[in-house]
Amino acid sequence: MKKTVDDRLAALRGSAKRLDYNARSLAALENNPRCTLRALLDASGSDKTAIATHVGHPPSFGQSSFAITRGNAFEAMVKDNGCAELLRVLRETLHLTLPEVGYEDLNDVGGDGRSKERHERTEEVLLRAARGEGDGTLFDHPMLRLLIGGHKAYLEPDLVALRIDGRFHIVEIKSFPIIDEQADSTQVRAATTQACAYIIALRDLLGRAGIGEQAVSDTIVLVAPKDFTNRPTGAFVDARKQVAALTRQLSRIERIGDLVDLLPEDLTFDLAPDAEDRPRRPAEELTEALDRVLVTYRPDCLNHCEMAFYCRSRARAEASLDVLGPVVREQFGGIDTTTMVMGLARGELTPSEDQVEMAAALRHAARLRAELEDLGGAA
Amino acid sequence: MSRLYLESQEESGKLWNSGNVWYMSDPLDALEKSIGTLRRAIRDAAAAGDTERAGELRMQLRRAERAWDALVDAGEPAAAPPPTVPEAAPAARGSQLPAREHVHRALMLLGAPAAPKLIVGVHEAFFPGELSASKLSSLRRDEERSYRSSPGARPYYLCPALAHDLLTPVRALITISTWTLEQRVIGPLSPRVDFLTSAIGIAEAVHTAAESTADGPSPEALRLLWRFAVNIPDAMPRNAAGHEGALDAQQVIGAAQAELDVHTDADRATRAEAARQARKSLGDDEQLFGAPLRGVTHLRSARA
Amino acid sequence: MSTLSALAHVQAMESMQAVPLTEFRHRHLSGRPLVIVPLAMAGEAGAPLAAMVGSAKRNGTLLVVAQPRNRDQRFAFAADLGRIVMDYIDSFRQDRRGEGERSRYTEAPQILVPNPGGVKALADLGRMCRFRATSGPYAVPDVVPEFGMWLTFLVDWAEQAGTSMLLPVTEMLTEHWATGQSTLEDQNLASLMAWISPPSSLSVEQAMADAENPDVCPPAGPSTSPEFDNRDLAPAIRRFDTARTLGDPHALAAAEAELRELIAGQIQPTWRMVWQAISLLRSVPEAPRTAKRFEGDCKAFTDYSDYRDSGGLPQRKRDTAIGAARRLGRLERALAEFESDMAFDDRFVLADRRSAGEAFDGTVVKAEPGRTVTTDKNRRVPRPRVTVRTEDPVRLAADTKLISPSLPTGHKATIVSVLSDRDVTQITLEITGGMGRGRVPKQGTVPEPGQRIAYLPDPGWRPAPQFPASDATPWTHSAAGAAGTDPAVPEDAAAEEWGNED
Repeated sequence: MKKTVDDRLAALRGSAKRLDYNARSLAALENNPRCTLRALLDASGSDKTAIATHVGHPPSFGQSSFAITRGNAFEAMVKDNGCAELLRVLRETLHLTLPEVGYEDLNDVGGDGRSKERHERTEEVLLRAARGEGDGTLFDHPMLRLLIGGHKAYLEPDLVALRIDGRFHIVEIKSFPIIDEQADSTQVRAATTQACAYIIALRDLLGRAGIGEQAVSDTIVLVAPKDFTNRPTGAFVDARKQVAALTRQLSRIERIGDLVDLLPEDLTFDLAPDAEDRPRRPAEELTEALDRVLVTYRPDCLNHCEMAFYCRSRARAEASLDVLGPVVREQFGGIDTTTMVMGLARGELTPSEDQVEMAAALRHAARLRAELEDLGGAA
Repeated sequence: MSRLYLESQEESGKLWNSGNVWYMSDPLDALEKSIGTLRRAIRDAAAAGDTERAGELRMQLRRAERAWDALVDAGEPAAAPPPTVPEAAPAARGSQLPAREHVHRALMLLGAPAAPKLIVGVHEAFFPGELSASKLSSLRRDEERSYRSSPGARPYYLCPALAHDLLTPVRALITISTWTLEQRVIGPLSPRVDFLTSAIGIAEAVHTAAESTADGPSPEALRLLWRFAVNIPDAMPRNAAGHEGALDAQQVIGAAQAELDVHTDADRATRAEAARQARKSLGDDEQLFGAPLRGVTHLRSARA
Repeated sequence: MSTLSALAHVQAMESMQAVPLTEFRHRHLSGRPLVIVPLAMAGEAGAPLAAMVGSAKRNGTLLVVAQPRNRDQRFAFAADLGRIVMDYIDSFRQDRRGEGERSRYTEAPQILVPNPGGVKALADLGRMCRFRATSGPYAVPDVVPEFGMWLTFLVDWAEQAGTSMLLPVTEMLTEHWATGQSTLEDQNLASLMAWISPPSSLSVEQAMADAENPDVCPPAGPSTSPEFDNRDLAPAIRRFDTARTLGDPHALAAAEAELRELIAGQIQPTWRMVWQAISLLRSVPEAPRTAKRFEGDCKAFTDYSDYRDSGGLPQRKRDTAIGAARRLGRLERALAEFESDMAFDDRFVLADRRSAGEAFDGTVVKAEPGRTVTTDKNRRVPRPRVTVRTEDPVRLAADTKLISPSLPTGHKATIVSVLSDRDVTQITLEITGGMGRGRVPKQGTVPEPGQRIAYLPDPGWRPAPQFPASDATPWTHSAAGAAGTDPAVPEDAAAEEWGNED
């Protein structure tokens, strides 16, 4: 059974190289879990950016090199001089004892930076530490691995700290500030979601060796600049709810077969690239293929999904209420389009049984608006 | 519009390099697209009689076209590296020393393996002359080449620290060949031990400067010491109000030594064992520059 | 959101043009607002990159921080901006009216920023500046902490509903117009303006597409577009750094000029758009009760101004428990009053409340104008009852206290009963106030059969809740430690220095 699902997914992707899940795409899972298109594109390892670009709706989010430079510089500063700043922060937050300073560099294995080798080394080092052997407390850039829908995704936390009582903590080093003990909630949330993938992957690693999941704390340590200075401070973030949510999403991916089964046999998002990697497939044909999949557009997709502009254009074309966002949508529970809303409001459509109440409210609202407009309200 | 950026280093790095971000994949394409859009927008603004807006857009267009020219001429991304800053003219005494001497002197002061950034910091805090991190990295390649062409011709070489388990070079840390293997090997506790050792070295140098020179330690030296002291328990003086007072070099030394005592024995045991292993299994050159990198051959075959 | 407002958005989407949500503008709009368009550097904590500031479209001043990571340049920028803003604020500290306790400035400043992000940028700037010392090792010019305290005051005050001293123009626009896009997209000034007033040669669709294209419409800040950062800004800042390192005055001047030109190209479109939005908003008539709320602004402005004149301390970093509770109470009261004011003034807003079942409009079908009751003090007072028939989906319960925009001020009533039958509801009310002092209600204070009348809930005059004085605060609710109770404790100077990466 599994094989056929994999084959179907490979066919969806077509000739392109498979893109693996990474911390970013995993974090995005939590943002719009009900979107079938996204689930299929991610599960099949399709290149969403290339697809969206080819159908004329390239994503527009990039990263400023300033943010990248700053992020890298801050992490480096925190880890400079034997993690001197980090140790101070962790001694304050995790109450590390004086002897707990052991540092293991997992950025490479004797110069070898490949994911598989690093993962093997990470596994060896962390398992040894979990069994209480060695002096390791700080594990710098361990390479974790998660099997998602049968495919490997390598994930790399900034740092994992092991306390003397045998508990691992994910440490996320971020360059957004904690000002007067408060940080931007969107950014904290994004960092936490990302850390959840690490928690799950680390639990998986230990679990394979028979170590229970309580060995990995579901409270993460966020290390970020204090106020307007460049010095780090630490804060605990409770990730329990998000770990549960992400776990749920991951198990849904395992059931991706259910979604695939609903698709037409010949469906593919293949770009049919030529030798120079330029897509040869007619854009209209690709659009048709995309249109056969259920899309759940929400305005905040614009913040994180590569397909968002495409999905928005479809939602607009269909006069879908999704365009207006959840606040407006919720007012019209059960109605999907502006055409339907206006039809009911004008009394041109007959409401179904469960729309009767809504239709009455709409007609009332429409009457009020008509009154206001007749009275010559604002232009 | 608020946008969500994941700022984690490894993430961003990957995104960047893979060309995953569409407009980075081909800067020329992206620029041409911009130019097209701008032309249309200028036409629209002109049609609407908005000369101010049209003027502004024309400026953007000129800029985009210049960037495009530069890109076509250079055959490389527009964000070309800036012109390099020429080395400033040698100034005060001691600055004529070769860079390797500067590094040697800084490492001797620290008494422990150190990263280029710290070496530069120590140099700027205590010694005259120019020393840049980029200079340092080219230096490191020269050292190994020089050793291999005529081993032992120089009184010392600058070489990488060695990892205690694999005995491979730890590229980020520089040591001096005349130090014992035990000093040059890095075990799990060594980064902290070396940090504390360096703190003592810096505090002593600050103390000496305070005693022996008219001006006392430089502001850079005090700042460097401060950066170390804030991360050592009980190294910062407390005044009556509980706020931080002036740094006391002796207090830093005492505090660093106290924590050092906690780690020394365990660290020394690991280092001694690793050194013993190195002497047994490595040739002379490998004892200095490390065992061959395990993954080099794999790396070469791996996809770039 | 009410069904009516939601419907307005649907209408906008269907007709591809913005739809008015209100009859009036409910925010005071100064004759001389100060517009600030702040830009910040991506990835840095509160690192200003530039600002364009001025009180008229033609006299904007562009301030640029050539190297935002440099602390000295940051505070030089803060001082420059601070001088302009303080000159503006001081120009309102001239005319006072009233005596003693009641003495007030007659006008108040108004700072307008493009979007909510602009308010956040000013909040960060205020926090960065207000504790800075003007003497000692890391001294900043006197204006810096003063500016910081004022910014903090303005940002705090802006949290209160209905105030006007600091506002994002996107908020003023969306209060008045509904677009056919989401709240998220409405925060993009250019997208919002595309709906309300697209450039004359463009359709709304084209204008929307342009609004999201950073080549045509650079973002309104505080973040700049990543493309701009990578393609233009980063190389220009590097050239500036290089020129400075080399100490080459010509190269330095050229690099600075280039940076200014680049940033001007990013900031000017927004600058002009903010002014365009302001003139649009001016064309909307101001709601009657706005003037009364503006007096509240003038009072707050006067109070803070006097506090500063007496050398008051900077605002603390975090509220104490009592302070937070007091503030919350104040904000809730202000919100209820603002909502009720708007519904009173504005048929659109009233309709909105009606559509949500929070207000109703109907015809008096029955009246007992002569009804009286005897109070506890054995006094006979008029308590007329009327029954109103409405087709509004009323969701108000018995005993709700009501006020009416259809009757003279002071009119008060309480719901006695609500009887619904299909689409029609009969509401019986007892009139309790606004009838004069006599035994018989004054003429015109009791609605008559056949009269059309609207009611909405009385936000109520609520006495300000009493909180213990600071020294009577139980220890469980006071801020811990000495540092917490002294709002003026600066960060230690050493940590400050750490922030300078130059």
